[in-house]
Amino acid sequence: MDIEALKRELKTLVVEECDMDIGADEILDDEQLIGSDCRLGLDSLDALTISLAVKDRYGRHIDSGNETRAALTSINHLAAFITAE
Amino acid sequence: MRIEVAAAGEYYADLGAADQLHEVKDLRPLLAAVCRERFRRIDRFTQLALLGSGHCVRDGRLPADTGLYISSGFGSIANTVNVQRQMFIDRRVPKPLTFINTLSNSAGYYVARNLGLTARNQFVSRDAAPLEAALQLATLDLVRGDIGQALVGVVDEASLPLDEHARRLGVGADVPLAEGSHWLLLRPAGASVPSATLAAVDTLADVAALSAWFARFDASPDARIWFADDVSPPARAACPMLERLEAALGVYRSRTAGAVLRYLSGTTGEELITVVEDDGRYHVMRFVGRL
Repeated sequence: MDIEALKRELKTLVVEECDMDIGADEILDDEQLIGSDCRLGLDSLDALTISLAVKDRYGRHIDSGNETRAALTSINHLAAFITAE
Repeated sequence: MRIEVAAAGEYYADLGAADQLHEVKDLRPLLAAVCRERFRRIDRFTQLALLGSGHCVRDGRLPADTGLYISSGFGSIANTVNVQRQMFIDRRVPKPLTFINTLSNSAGYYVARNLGLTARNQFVSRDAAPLEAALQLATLDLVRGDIGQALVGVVDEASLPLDEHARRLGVGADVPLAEGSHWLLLRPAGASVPSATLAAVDTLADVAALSAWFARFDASPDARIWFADDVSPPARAACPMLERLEAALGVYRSRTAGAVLRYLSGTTGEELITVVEDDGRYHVMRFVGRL
């Protein structure tokens, strides 16, 4: 799968798993996902939900370490984390 | 203390029998009319609670000292089934929010948030007579003066497939099923123009106690009775002066509450008495309608 297709898939995953009202294509690639001060405003429960969905679908485990936790910063970071060797 | 029913409201849906084609209704389009905000990640049980409470508190405003009491026979059963299936059949970790929503008292959080309530907030689950359980808690707190009024709701959802749900309810696949969210706003007497008075809500140990309970008051010729479930012949014999109220409701754990709501919507002064048999004991309620 090319990186752009992966990003589209991840946006759909975020919208569906977090029960959001916006369209998947409204999420920007570099937009911050988690935090009350950002537009999407996802919280820690959303982060946990996304982490489990990513593990189920892509087999990549987002643990509590800073490096992997940074994967939830944006769609760009999440796609890079999944495709990293 | 006399306790009056100041308002009532509900969501109710007939689902048909399990051997027919069916689907449970998507409630999300209905929620916008009763919710101050769009709540994400809520399950259907919470949606039902929000709908019923919203229909009871029509202007969405209650004093902050209103106690909130929610009860249910099965609680968030669809979520619970899903979580069990994911864990023990699929061998997968359940989604965090699906798991959290199996704690049915999360519905209480959302109802309180929607109505701006900050006082007592309790959830009680009891297989038999869930409304009566919540009313007993609420009336106790009202009598003690712990709360100024009480918003009491009983919620029971149906889960798919319906034939499985029919077995859970102990009925055949040809029996019409239903789901509902029935709510009462209770206040001490004199605080409002009531639709009825809640004259009694008691749990009785056996048939002898049931007979004694009926003997305590002089049932008027207009008094009516509604059996929530098929009660045993001795219990029927204990109250021969009363007639059965045909409420035309499908089967679900909270249908006594459905009968109460139907009575309240049409009462012209007669009494309603409900009896639910529960493993040898009896839960009874008595409402007296406003003339």
